[in-house]
Amino acid sequence: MFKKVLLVMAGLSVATAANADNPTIRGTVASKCSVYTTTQGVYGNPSPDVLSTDAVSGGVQPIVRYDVAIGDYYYGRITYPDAFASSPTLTSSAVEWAGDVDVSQVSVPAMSAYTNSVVTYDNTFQYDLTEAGSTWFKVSSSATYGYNQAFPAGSYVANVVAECIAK
Amino acid sequence: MKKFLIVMLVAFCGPSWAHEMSPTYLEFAPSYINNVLKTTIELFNRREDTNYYEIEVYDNDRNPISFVANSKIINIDYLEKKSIDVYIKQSDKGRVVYVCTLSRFVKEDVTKTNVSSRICSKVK
Repeated sequence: MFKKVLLVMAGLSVATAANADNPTIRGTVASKCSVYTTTQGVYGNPSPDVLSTDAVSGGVQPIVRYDVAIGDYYYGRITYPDAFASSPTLTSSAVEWAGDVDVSQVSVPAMSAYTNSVVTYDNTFQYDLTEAGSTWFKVSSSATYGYNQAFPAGSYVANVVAECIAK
Repeated sequence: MKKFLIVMLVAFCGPSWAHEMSPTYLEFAPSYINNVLKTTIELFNRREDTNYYEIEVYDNDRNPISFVANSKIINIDYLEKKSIDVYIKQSDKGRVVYVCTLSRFVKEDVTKTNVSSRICSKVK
């Protein structure tokens, strides 16, 4: 009886050994930049001549996240809109645009320095992504129509451009 | 601690969409056509809000340079990865500095701000 049990056990262990495998999962960390849209922005319309992403105006600020696998390989460049991508026909081209970009969250404390080292020109903010990890940027945008004019009814879309440029 | 966890969950569990492109640095190599160089980029669409990406080739001052690819606008599904061959003239080799992809949107009836993402790899 004992011999039979031993034989069965030996057989089972051989069968298991035959099925044994060493599955591997391989991966590579390379310098890479990913641009995430964490929050899509929405324009609020607090008064007839204003569209704004500010919360107090009923809007939502778009938030963009940059993931950088290895630091110091990329510039992050964010441009707030200065024109509508689509809108109803505007009788006047006198739309005054304003906006801002700022760091809203960081995954590495050293990224807080991005706010001070930002380079701005026109409506573009350029950040030197020196640290590996994730950085969240919030963008604000507002459009004010000409004096005493109301934005015509319809849908308005404006594009924020978030770029990741290799150094 | 519980409150902190709830705040973190609320902050990080919303939908987020990403545009990924690699490699960071490119090299153009001779192709099977005389005087035409080729490089390959990999594009990964993790943006649920768009299926279209435009390929762009620029010099150092961001002036566009002519190139050939299967299509200038690439249709790429959500969570799909595509390898795209980009061809340039041999004579443009010294001028080409950036190869970029830019997300493109279909017109919609919503009052909002879209986030267009552009990722540029550099030619070494």
